[in-house]
Amino acid sequence: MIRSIKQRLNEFRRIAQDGVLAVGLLISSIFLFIFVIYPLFRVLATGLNINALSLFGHLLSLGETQRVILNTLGVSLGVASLGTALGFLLAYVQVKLDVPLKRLFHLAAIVPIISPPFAVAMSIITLFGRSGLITKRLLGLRYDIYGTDGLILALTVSFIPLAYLSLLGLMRSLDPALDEAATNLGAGRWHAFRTVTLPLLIPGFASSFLLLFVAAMADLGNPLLLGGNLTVLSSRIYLAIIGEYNLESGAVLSIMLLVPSLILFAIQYYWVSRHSYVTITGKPTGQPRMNTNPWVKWTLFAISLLFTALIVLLYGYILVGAFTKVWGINFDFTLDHFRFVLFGYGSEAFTDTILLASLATPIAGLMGMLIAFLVVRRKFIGRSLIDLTSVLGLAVPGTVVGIGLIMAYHKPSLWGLIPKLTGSAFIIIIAFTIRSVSAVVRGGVAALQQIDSSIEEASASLGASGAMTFRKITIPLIRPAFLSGLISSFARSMTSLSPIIFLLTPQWRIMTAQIMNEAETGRFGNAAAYSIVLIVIVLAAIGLLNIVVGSTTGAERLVES
Amino acid sequence: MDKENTTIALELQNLVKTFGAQNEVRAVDNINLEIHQGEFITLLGPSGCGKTTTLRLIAGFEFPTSGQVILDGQIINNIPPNKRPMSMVFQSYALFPHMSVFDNISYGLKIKRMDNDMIKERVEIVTQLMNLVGVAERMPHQLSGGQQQRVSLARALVMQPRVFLLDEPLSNLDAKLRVHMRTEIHRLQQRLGFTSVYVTHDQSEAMSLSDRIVVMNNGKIEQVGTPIEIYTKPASVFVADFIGRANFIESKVLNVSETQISFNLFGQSITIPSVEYSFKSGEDVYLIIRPETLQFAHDGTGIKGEVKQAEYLGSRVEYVIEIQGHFFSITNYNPRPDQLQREGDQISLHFPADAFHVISHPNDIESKSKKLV
Repeated sequence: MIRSIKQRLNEFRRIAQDGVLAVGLLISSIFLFIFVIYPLFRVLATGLNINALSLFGHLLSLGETQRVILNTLGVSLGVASLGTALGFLLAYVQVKLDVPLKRLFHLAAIVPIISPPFAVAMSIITLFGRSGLITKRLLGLRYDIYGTDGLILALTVSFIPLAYLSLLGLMRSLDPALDEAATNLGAGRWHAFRTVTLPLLIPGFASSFLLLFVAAMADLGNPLLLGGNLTVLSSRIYLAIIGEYNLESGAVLSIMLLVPSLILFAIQYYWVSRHSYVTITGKPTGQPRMNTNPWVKWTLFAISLLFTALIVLLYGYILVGAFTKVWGINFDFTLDHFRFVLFGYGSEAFTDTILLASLATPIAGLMGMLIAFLVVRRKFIGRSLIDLTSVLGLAVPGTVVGIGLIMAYHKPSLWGLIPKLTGSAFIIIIAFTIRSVSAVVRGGVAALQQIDSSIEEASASLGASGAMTFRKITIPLIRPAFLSGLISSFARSMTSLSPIIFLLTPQWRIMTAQIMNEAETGRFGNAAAYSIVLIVIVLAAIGLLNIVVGSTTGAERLVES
Repeated sequence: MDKENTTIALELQNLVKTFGAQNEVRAVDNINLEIHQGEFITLLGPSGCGKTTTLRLIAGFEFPTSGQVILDGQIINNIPPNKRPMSMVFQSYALFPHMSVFDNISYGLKIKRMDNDMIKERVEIVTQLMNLVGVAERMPHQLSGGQQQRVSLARALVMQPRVFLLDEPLSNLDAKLRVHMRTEIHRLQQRLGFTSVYVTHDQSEAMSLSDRIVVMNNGKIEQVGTPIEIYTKPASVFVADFIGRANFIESKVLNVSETQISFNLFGQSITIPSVEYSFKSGEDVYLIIRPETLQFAHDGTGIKGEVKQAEYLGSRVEYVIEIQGHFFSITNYNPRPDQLQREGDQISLHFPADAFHVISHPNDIESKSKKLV
C-alpha cells in the first residue's frame, strides 16, 4: 500500500520535473474541474435535492412531460434510423460503386457540418411549409411542415455528416481481401455482402445510430423553430429557463435529458468501440471490388442524386432568401439583409462572434492536444478521469452545459475563488472551449495512437525535455490532426447555439442567437443573410488556417535554421 | 580488455519492475549487474524475458518498482531520460519522419546548444564513420532500410554518450544486411570503445558482439559470462538449451575424488576432472553435451544406437540417434559422402569425456532428453 502510494507520488514527481508539461496538466485539470465537472455537479445537486425530487415525480406524472419524453424519443429514433440508413447508402456509393458525380455526392453529404442552426429549418419552412414554394406554389398543397416530420427532416439533414463520415471511414478501412476471400470460397456478391461485409459493419451502424440519437436529442435550434406544437426535452428546458425562469425545473428536465445522453454515449464510446472488428493495420491490400449490379448501382445513384438535389435546394434557397426582399414571397433582389448584418444594427454580433470564437479556438486547440498527449503518453493517477472529463464536453447536451454554467457562476462561487461570470464574454468563451476541446482531444488521441512512441522516446534519449519533444516532434507529426482540430473548434464555436443561449447578455451578441431572434420574429431574410455570412466565415477560416498553419508550424523551420 | 582494472560504469542493484494493478507481472525480478567502462554487454533471452524492460529502466523510460540504477556511483532512479547521458538506438529506428538526415543526427547536439560549426564537424565525422556521406539532405523515407539503421546509430553515436543503449537494432533488417551491420557495430565498438548495453534475442548477434552476455529468463538473470563461458559452461538447462543446441542426459554422481568425478552413462562410467564442480556422491545431475562434439565410433567401441533421422545440409549432416529410448542430436561437420549414415543404420557413438558439462538436476524440470526430438 505504502509502496504503491510512493509509486504514485513518483509518477507526479517525474511529471513535475518537466515544468511546462506539469503546468499544462495543472491548468487543464483545473479548467476541466471548474468548467465541466463543477457545473454538472450543480445541475445534479439542484435537480436531485429533496424538494426537486418531488418535483421530479410531479413532472414525470404529468401527461405533458410524458408526451415531451415520448416526442423526444420518437424524433431521435427517427433521425438516428433515417440518418444511419442514408449515411450508409451514401458511403456505399463512395466505396463500392462506380458512378458519375461521386465527388459531388461526397460534398453534399458533408456540407451540413458547417451550416449554422436554423438555416436548414428556415429553408424547409419556406420550401415545404404552409405557404412553401414547393408545397403551395408548385403543388398547391397546404402542408403543415411544423412537427415531427419537419423536425426529423431538418435534424437528419443537419447530422447526416456524422453518420456518413464514420461509416465511410469504416468501409474504407475494411480489407478488400476479406471480400475476395468470401468470393473465392464460392460466395456470390450478395451472399458475401450479407455474411462478411455487413457483420463487420454492425459496430459502425450501432455507433452511428447512437451518435445521431444523442445529437438529435440534444439539438435545440431546430425544435424551437420547426417544432410547432411538438415539444421535445431540449425545447421544454428552454421554456423552463427563458419562459418560466424556473432553474429548478430546468435542472430536473436537464437530468432527464442528461442521463439517457450519457448512457447512450457511454455505450457508443466503450461498448461499441470494443466490439469493433476493424483494426487499423495500415493500408488495405488492394482496391475494393466495385458492385456492378445495374439495379443496385442505379437505384443508389438515384437516391444520392435526390439527396444531393435536396441539399442544393435547401442551401441554395437560403442564398435566395438572403438576397430577396421577402423570402418566398417577394423575390426582388436586395442587399438590405447583408447591409443589416455587416454594417447595420446586426454587425455587432458579427464582430463579437468572430472575436470570441477566435479567442476560444487556440485555447481549445492547445489544451485539447496537450490533454491528448498526456492521456496517451504519460502515466499519472487521475489520467482516466481527465480522459473521461474531456469527453463529457461532447456527451453532455449543449443546453445542459449552458444551464450548468449559469447555476455554477451566476454568483461568486467555489468559496469566492471564482467571481460571478455570467454576463461576461469570458463565460461565452468558456462555453465555446468546453464544446471544442473534447473534439480536439478525440482527434489528438486518435492521431497519437498512430505514432510509434519510440519516436518521442528517441527525442528524450537525445536530451530533449518533455515540452521540447512535444513542440519539436509531437506537434509536427500530428499537425494534420491539430489543424483539423483547430478548424473544427472554430466552426463549432461559430455555429453553436445551445450552450450559449442562456449565457447571453445585451453586451455580447452571438450570430447564432441573432439568427434565432430574426427567425422567430419572422425576419427570415436577415436570418438567411446571417447564415450565409456564417458559412462564408467558416469556409474562409478553413482556407486561412490551411495557409497559416501549413507554412509556419515552426518545427521544420526551427530545425533547418 | 582487462576488466579487473577498469571502473564500473553502470550498476543495477536488486532491480525490480512490476506491471499491473496488483503488481502481478514481475517483468524484471531482482536483477544485479555490473557493467564496466568500455564493455559491450548483451542482454539475451526469449521474448518476454525482461531484457527490453531492463534496458528501458536503464534508459529511464521506465522507473524501477524497487532497486537502483547506478551510473558512475550515483543513483539515477528518478532522473528523467533526457537528463541521462545515454543514447538509445530503437528497434523501429524511430527516425523523426519530418526531419532530414542531417537534422535527425544533429537533433541532440542542438538541444545541448552546441555551436553550429561544432555541430557540423561532429555530424561530418559521424556520417563518414557510418558511410552516410551524400545522404544528409534526404528525408528518412527516401533511405533504404540499412541506411535508416545507420542514421539511427549515427544519431545516437554523435552524442558521445556515457552509455550506448541498443534495443534489437538489427531485427528489422534482412538476414544478409543483419550480418553486415553486426560486423559494422563490432568494428565501431572496437574502434571507439564505448560502453554498450545491447538487447537481442539472436544468439549469434550476442556471441559475435559481446564482451559478456547476460542470459535472461522470466525476469531473472540465468547466467552472466563471456560468449565462450556461456556456450561451453552453461549454468542451467535453460541457458544450454537457449544458446545453441544441446543434449541432456539425466545421471547420478558415482564417485567424487580430489581431482576427478565420475558419472553413470548408459551403464558405463565416465570420468571428468572435478576442478570446477562441487557435487556429492549420489547426487542427481544433468550431463550436457553439444551435438557437434559427439562422434561416430567407426571401430565399434562406444555406445550402441540407431539412426532415426538424417538431414543432409551440405556443410553438415544433422542426425537424430536413439540410444536406449533416449534421443540425441548429432551434428557432423564437413561430412564425407562415403561416410553418411542412413536412417535405420545401427551405429555406435563416442562420448568424449572432456566435452561434457555437468549441472545440478532441477527436480521440477522433467527429463529434458525425451523432449528433444
